[in-house]
Amino acid sequence: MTKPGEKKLAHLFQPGKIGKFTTKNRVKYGACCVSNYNTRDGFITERELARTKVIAGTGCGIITNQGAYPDPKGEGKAYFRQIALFDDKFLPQFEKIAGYIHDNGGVAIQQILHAGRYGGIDLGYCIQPSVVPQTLPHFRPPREVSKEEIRQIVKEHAEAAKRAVIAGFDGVEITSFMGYLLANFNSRFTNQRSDEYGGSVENRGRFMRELIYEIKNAVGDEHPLIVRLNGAELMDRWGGNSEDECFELMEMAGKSGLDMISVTVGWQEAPVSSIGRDVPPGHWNRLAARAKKLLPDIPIAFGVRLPDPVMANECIEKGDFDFWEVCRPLLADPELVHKAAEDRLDEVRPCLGDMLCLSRLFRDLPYLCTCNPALGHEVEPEYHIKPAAVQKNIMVIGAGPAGMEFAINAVKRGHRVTIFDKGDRLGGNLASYAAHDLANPEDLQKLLAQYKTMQEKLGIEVQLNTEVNPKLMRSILHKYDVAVVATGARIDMEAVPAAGQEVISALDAAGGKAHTGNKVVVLGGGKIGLVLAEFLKTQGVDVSIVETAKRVGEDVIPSWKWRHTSWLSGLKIPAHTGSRVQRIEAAGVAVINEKGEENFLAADTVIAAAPRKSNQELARELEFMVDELHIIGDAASPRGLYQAIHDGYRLGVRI
Amino acid sequence: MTTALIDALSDLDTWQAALDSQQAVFAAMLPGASIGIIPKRDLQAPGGKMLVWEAQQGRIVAEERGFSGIRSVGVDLLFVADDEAIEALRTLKGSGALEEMKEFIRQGNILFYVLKTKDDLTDLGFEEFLEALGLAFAGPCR
Ligand SMILES: Cc1cc2nc3c(=O)[nH]c(=O)nc-3n(C[C@H](O)[C@H](O)[C@H](O)COP(=O)(O)OP(=O)(O)OC[C@H]3O[C@@H](n4cnc5c(N)ncnc54)[C@H](O)[C@@H]3O)c2cc1C
Ligand SMILES: Cc1cc2nc3c(=O)[nH]c(=O)nc-3n(C[C@H](O)[C@H](O)[C@H](O)COP(=O)(O)O)c2cc1C
Repeated sequence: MTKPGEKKLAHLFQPGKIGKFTTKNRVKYGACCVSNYNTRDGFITERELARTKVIAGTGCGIITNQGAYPDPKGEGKAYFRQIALFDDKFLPQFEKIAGYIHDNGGVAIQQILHAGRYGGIDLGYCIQPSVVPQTLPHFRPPREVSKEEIRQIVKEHAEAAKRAVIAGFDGVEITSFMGYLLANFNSRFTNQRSDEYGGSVENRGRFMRELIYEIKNAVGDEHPLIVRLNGAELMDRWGGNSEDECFELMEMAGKSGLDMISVTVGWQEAPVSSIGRDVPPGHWNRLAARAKKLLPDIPIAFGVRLPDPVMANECIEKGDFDFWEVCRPLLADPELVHKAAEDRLDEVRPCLGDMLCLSRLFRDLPYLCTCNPALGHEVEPEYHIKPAAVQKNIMVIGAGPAGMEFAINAVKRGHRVTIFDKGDRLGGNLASYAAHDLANPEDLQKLLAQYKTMQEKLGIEVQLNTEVNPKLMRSILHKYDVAVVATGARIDMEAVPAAGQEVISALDAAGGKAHTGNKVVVLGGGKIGLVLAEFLKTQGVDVSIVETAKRVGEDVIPSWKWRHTSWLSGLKIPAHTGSRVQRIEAAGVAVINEKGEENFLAADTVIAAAPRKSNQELARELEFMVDELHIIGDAASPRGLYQAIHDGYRLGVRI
Repeated sequence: MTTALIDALSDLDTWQAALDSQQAVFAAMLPGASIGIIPKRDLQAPGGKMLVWEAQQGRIVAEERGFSGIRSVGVDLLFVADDEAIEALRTLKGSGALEEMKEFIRQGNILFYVLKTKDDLTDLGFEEFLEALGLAFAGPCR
């Protein structure tokens, strides 16, 4: 029977075709899964298998398993714990994964990923078509491949593809996503060879054509081959391919016997964003539409920073592409496709595009997701939501992300939960953050909306405008078995030097509880100070930042720091780092830097955004008033959004 | 290339003054740690001059070397500046140079190549310098 959402999103939920295979819908799980929790020598672990079961169950018509490197030397290896497919010894786990995908009615695709310029992670070098030094220190120094080596690499790709098919996969994919080997050959930037593999577009595309030909030869016509190709490299500054050249190469690929093209955007070292939250959803759709127009007979998959199934449905209807290729949104909520089918999109946990996932990978750690604390822990029963052994009456103090996340999961386990908040809305400081975010506030607002939906649908009682204090507690004593303190953190105003003018807390300023003037000094260049200062500047306020540390943004997710420094430069916000406040006067702030140089920053408003202090006093008061007491989120220690969400979830599923 | 632009990189006294006012940024660099700057047009047509900043006995020193191509460049970091950036840097005096460079890097007028790995650069004492130019923040994938 057709589900209500399947009717609404009829284009997305219609069957599709890839090679001889019919897919149950038009959703492809993008190879978004170099998880970094396999063995160092390329074997798939139990942890990965448990995660892959979840991926297989996402309901996508096509599931792409994470990229495996094809060569025994590991020149193609991009991540510390990337999986390998250069030998039959790896096959048993691949067989299991193909089985999980088939059990769920999906078409199983195995990606082969040779990272080229970004590879050789365990070696002292990486291989490239030509010696073009790195622009990011994370990667290895380059070595040029000889023609014999090219032949060997092509052969290894074909052999790995054949192994994938032997393991039960229906087809294979090769990828140039984010500047891997295939992209290195295609690009003018990294391919400066003078032999038949370099020079003209025709020659640069030779490696790609040989790969396509040899893989198809190895796996046979009945097994489809997907090729991921850049619609835009975003490497113009470095002399990379123009968009026109990218499409010339795409056309060439289309004529070389492949079965589907997946359009991707950007290289890892590209100086501008391709998938971060600062890119508006749907921004790159035009590249998919161009590919479809160019190659109307070849299925086109696309989904870069396109988190919305409704938009994807419209794009398929318009003929912009054939398959919606989703990646991070399915990390954030593996139920996304099912919720879309059941017309429950309001329950979807959104992908915030904050890049926590990738910033972990590049620190050689397993990936994490801000909104999905269970990601990577699927193998651990402690992370699953199971009915509670005994039902408890639980009070949650604070409706910020920590409190909301806890409440939602505790109620799912069967507990009775009441949330108290002294404010007049759900979301705590996340609401203030969302109101000031320059990147794309809608992503954060979606999370707030999801909290409201879940609170209503799960029937969680909420008492807003209610400050919990010992007096109130005495009046409701013995009603609750458990108190969860999720009261967040405050700016420690006592740590701010005595002032000749009123100093405003950044949380009050961001929460609309305090008026700010036209000339503002923000004390503290951590994430809260930065977000607030950037926002004020866009409102025409003259703002500067004072930070005691050497650099701003020390508490920002590593892959988001550049965004703040770039905004500061772009908006021309002076950041006085390594500087301490000497005095706060009526006319402004006197600061002194590490060299002992003094500076006076005129201001009609001084905002303190640091240091922060947990609101824990209540917990001390409650110690002898309830059976069980817990502290989560910023109330436990002032950190940030993902830690608050993870704290809330972990306690919610265990209590 | 115009003489003025060649002069811009060859004006070692001006560069030395600029570096002297920024010694803190280079303080941790081990002797021999080096940074090269070439005009963009020389990248594909080597044979020109390269401005080199090298750590020598607790001080960073500006000097000139030949640039015979990227494979034999012999520095740890290489900056490739377009005409606009070179012209602007030429007029710089003292402490503004690094700030200005940072802005040019951000805007793409100055490109940079790293010839050593992250660990090597850290061991050579480049951390502070990379931070000062906003380069350490430029992590992969955006
Ligand atoms: C402008 C701004 C920008 C930010 N930028 C970022 C960022 O870039 N990245 C990031 O990770 N984080 C950022 N944050 C921080 C992030 O919002 C917080 O870390 C997160 O909201 C903490 O969640 P929490 O649930 O622990 O606490 P909070 O969200 O602070 O919620 C605590 C709740 O408890 C309530 N409360 C407190 N005491 C009582 C009481 N006695 N009785 C009843 N209710 C009470 C409060 O009203 C509040 O609603 C930002 C915050 C702001 C304000
Ligand atoms: C954590 C992570 C791992 C990824 N691993 C791969 C990979 O192994 N191979 C690949 O081609 N793309 C990989 N990608 C790219 C995704 O498939 C996808 O193209 C990209 O994230 C944009 O889609 P999205 O906006 O839906 O996330 C990865 C992305 C993320 C976030």
